[in-house]
Amino acid sequence: MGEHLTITASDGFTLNAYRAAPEGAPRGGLVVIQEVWGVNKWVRSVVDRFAAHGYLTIAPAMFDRVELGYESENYGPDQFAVIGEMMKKFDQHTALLDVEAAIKAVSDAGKVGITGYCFGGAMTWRAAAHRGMGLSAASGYYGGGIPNYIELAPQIPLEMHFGGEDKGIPLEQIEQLKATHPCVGIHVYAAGHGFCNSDRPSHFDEVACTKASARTLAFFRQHLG
Amino acid sequence: MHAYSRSPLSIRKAMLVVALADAMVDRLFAAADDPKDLLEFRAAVSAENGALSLVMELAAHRPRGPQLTVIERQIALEQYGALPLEDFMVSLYNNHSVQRLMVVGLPTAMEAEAVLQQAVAELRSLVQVS
Repeated sequence: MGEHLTITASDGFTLNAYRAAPEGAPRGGLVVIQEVWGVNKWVRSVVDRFAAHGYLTIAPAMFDRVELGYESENYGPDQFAVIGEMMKKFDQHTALLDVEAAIKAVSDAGKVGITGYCFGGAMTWRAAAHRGMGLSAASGYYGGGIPNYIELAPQIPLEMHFGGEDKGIPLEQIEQLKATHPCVGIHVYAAGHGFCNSDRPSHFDEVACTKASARTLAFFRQHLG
Repeated sequence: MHAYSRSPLSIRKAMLVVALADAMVDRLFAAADDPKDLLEFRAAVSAENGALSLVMELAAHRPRGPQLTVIERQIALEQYGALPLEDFMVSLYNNHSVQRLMVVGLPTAMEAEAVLQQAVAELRSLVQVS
């Protein structure tokens, strides 16, 4: 089990985070970027899982600048408009400052990697394309809005995992992403969007998630230690 | 149609439905009791079935004809509750927009999924009649 803490970004903003440490000396550090429901129960379980694999792992609360302390377990449509209104204030630039703060919070563990899901998957690509973040490897999951990040060239080893039956991400855009960045490992599974969130049974695909998670772990072993 | 429904933003899968629907019209002609002229048969089918007619135009792939393309659409707050989960998630960090596969090159662009579903329904009716 991890701990709740606060971290401070370079512009002085203080945000919440959840961090878990491995038993014994860490292999490296890892940042986990949430889905749009905040650092909720499932995201905390992901942090705990990576810590169990030997990484000092942290998940920064990426929406704290919009609404401090936001997290939700309600995946139902009754919350969509509420969150939609809230997210009109979200800023991609300051989000990278929060990612940077999270990286610093685990950098004593050694090389630092980043992973993320949906919102966090797109953010993983953006962080991997941003020089000077202090990252050594990145493994992102089903980051939507590919046209908005396809032109950003990764600066570190990067892999991405997508669902071939994702109703929010066109398959041809994934192919285009792979063609534009042949150095990026792009893996496509027979699954839909959000296939790794086990708290959303309607979208969870255990087979695809198990394969993807094993790839992510092997990727981090190779590049972080 | 099943494969397309699982990936409704895929142009390739939509085009597969288009090609199969178009080929089915030719099969209906071949299966007729006394087939006369294929082009006349296709014209008659096209005249009586709006969505299928549009699908046949897509299959013809004429330079100035209708085309399939993915278009980004802004989402108003009041529409959020009706969004599928994946559209909702992706739209939040993409300027409150979703992507839609559309038939363009028409006076008014149409959602491809609705056109294909209607075309398949029209085909089923034709199969039952024949």
